[in-house]
Amino acid sequence: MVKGYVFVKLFIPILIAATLLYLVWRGIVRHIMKPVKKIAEIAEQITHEDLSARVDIKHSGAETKYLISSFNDMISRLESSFKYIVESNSYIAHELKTPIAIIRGEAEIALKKERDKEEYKKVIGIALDESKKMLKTIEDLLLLTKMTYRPEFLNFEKIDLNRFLNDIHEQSKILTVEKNISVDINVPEISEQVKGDEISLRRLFFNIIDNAIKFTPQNGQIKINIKYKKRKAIVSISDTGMGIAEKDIPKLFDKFFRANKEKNRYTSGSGLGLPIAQSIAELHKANITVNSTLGKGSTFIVTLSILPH
Amino acid sequence: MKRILIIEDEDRIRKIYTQLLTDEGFEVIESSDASEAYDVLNKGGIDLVLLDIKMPVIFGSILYEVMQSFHDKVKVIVSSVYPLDEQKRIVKGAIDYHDKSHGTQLLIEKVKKALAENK
Repeated sequence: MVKGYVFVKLFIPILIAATLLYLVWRGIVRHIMKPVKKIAEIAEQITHEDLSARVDIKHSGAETKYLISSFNDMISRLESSFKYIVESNSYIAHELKTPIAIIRGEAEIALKKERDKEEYKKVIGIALDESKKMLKTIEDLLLLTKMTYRPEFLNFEKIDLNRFLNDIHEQSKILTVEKNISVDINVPEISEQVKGDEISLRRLFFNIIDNAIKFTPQNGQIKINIKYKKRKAIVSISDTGMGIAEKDIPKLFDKFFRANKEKNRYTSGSGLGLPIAQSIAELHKANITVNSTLGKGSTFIVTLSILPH
Repeated sequence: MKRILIIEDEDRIRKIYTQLLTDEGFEVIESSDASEAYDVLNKGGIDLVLLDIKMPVIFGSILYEVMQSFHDKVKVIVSSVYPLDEQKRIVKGAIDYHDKSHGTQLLIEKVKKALAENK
């Protein structure tokens, strides 16, 4: 009898307390899970076709605001990545369709009737040239994408800057022979070191030099100058070319843009040289600035951090 | 003989179109510059214009003016490497549209069809 009485007297309050605690616990969990539920609902709506959904941050407590804004930021970053990919696809399609139109047009005309040997050779030569250009466009675009999304493929080492730029100077002389453009270099007596991936830095400088050669007429000049100041290496490459209009300078590194309306607009390479140079600079925490005067020439300035001694 | 004006700044493409249309028996006038083309059009006597557009710069450009001023007076076939539906959306009033990478045979058919149509 006593046992039963103790049992009822103890058990029922415990049961009631447990039930109440359980209900309170459920309430707390539901409250905590509310923002998580909101996020899950929005996440369900995100597809590769539609990344526009965001979680409403307005009626959330301070603790969850951070979670929600991180989530929204992540979606925004994904959205711009997708936009970039779509834009790149349009760019590739456009840039590749012109050489295709050329190869196809020449081939179709040549095949319409019997032609002589020289005409056939010419058409085959055009097909070969255009194929090479298409390849360059594809490779450049792949490189640009790789640098944007997978920078770990770079191999950073100490580079002696005087030695490095002297090499570049020597090799540029080969590129400028055809147009008889002189290339001079001015290096300080004492060299400094930078940390970088030599292969991509070479590409950066050659892309700038190629650009200078392209827009500089016969018998022009290109000058490479290095200055070490404070903890920076300031490398400038100037040319006596046609220059760039002030309004076009900010667009130079935009892969969809070509500054000068030269006669054979299309034949001047993939148009990705400077955007690639810019990406390489960013990966090296360096920057590129441009000064130019139309009709007189341009100067590209690459600023790199020097390694302490 | 029908007279066709080609407005195309890409030398290689313009050369291909000129040879193509000349071989088909048309009289071809070449222009790599829209303002030059404008003068030719003003003189009259052109039956068809093959107009290259570099999209999306069409608006505010002289090429757009060519379209606006002349599409009532002369037949215009727009050509571009952009897809046809995009070309149609951006440039109105052309008698036909051509994707350059779709080949020369298709272009000839479009030219012949346009010339045969009553405007």
